[in-house]
Amino acid sequence: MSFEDADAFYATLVHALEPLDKDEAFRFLCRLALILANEIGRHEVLQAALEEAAAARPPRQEDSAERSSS
Amino acid sequence: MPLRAESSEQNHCFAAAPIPESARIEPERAPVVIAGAGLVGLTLAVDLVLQGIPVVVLEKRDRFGEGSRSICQAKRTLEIWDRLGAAEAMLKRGVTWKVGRVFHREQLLYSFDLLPESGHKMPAFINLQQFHVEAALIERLQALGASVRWCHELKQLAASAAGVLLEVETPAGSYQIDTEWLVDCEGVRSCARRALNLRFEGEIFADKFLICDVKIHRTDFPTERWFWFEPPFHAGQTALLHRQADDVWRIDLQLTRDADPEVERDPARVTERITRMLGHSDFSIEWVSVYAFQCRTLERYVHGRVIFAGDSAHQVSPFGARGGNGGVQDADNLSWKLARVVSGRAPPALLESYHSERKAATLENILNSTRSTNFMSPRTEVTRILRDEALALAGRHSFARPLVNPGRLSVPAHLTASQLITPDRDSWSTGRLAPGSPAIDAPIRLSSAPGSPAVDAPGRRGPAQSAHNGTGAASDDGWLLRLLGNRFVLLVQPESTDAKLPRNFEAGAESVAILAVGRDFEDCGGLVKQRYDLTPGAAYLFRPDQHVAARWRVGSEELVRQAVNRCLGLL
Repeated sequence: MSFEDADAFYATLVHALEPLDKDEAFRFLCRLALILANEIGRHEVLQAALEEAAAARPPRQEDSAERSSS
Repeated sequence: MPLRAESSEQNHCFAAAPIPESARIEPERAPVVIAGAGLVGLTLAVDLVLQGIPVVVLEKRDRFGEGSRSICQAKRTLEIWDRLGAAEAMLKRGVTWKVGRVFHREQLLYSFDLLPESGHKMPAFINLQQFHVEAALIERLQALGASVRWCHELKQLAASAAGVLLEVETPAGSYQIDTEWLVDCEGVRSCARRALNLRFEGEIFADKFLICDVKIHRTDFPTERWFWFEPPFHAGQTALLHRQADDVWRIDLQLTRDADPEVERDPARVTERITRMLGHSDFSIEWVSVYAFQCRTLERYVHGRVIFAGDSAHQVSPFGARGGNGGVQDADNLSWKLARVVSGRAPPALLESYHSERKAATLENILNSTRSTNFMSPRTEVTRILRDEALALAGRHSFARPLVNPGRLSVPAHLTASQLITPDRDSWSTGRLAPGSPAIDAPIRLSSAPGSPAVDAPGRRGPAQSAHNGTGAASDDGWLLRLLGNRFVLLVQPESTDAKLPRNFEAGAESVAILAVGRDFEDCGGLVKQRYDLTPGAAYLFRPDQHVAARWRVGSEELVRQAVNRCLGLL
């Protein structure tokens, strides 16, 4: 499975997030994650998605600072 | 409002037991000593005595523990106590319930009905104060000619390969017991665990709970389990309201992490909180305590000749009713093995399976308890927001309700990974009876007593009602689990009505009772056949703790003998 229309989805997501502050946006994304997780259902797929999301985290400023100093 | 005195029944003082005469000259000899007369120690004591093993039960106190403590007695636990002949008194006194409601603020998120299917002797749950349960077990123990040694405190022990030498202190002086086996059921403050210098592995959570027993003099609350996230009367926290016997209600209120237990226990403060919760002050407080959630276990439950059971082996947070119910299953698992080791019918190595089977069950309990705790009491700001949004979704959409976790209630352990179990080779439609699973009850009629009172029909009446309508005694033998008892049993569906089956089958030192459908009992409601997926020639082998050891579409003497030997640790 993949996006039917990635551009349309992204645009809709941006449209939904734009009026929200950080806290409201975080809550929105929490609800969205739970709704989508229910749509997917299969534990194996969800597990892989969680790992993928964790692996794709960009290095933080302090992480790279630590690395350069060591 | 001052704290009321505990009810006189709970506060009953037992007389200190005398020191046995012979123990004044040399150490008393005993095959098994049980330290601690709580519900786990008492369950084990009754079970061992029923299996012909004399026990010494040491209890340092002279009375029951304070408060209601472990109140939710689950179906499997009741079935174990019924096997011991102690459940009738508990059913009469306890409060049967099956409906739970979960609220978020003012809103009912969902309700659940544990819906016990009909045709079981025991209900899904009863609520009964732990001291009432212990009183019933003590009465049963006395009826069997045994007793508890009140005010006998285990002070020190010296374990060797052959046994354990115990130092016991009583008001009349000290004495020694030289025992082959010590089973420690002393709970959180165990002497044996300290003496062996054993540590728990696991977590103590930062959150604290205020736990109260409250006698409510007028109430509209039904006999249900009510749980609140962020209740209007207790902002930002959780609360639980649950009915027990004697018009006493259990109330659990979550406290903030920095709460001071001494301040929170103050009666005026507790009264104020509960008045806010109930909307009136027509109640009296019977007991108050503050506790922290814990999910901890010993690494091993068997240390040479010292065996740990119940809270002295493991502790879980209380919202799944897994502490007491888990401990009783420990006793159920241990007693038949220990009885056979003591009487030389099985090697001591069999006790290793007590550790492996019950450790697996504990890890399952800890997993469930930890998940519930993390939902009820999120550890970070971010996970708190996630939790709140899950609750918000659950209020609008049924799909999100499974995410809401106010405690996952105790279910019996399925020992399907155990070495003692013979895995299925044939195909069966009943996965819930796969080898390792506990037996499932069904109404039967004993063939040997055609004139005996009719068994309750498995109609619309629930099992709870049948146990409570006063006919419980008449239907006492009309249940499959009662017939299985505490022995090895082969349940057989004969291939034909004229099949010649023996009454017993000798497998080494073990005698297996053969129960043939139609010969030994009638499957009057057809539920045995249906629940066990019985076809002509099919057979189930049950362990003495009523777990399925093996099953075959077509059994043979050799297959049964192998399965029994495997159960005894002989293969």
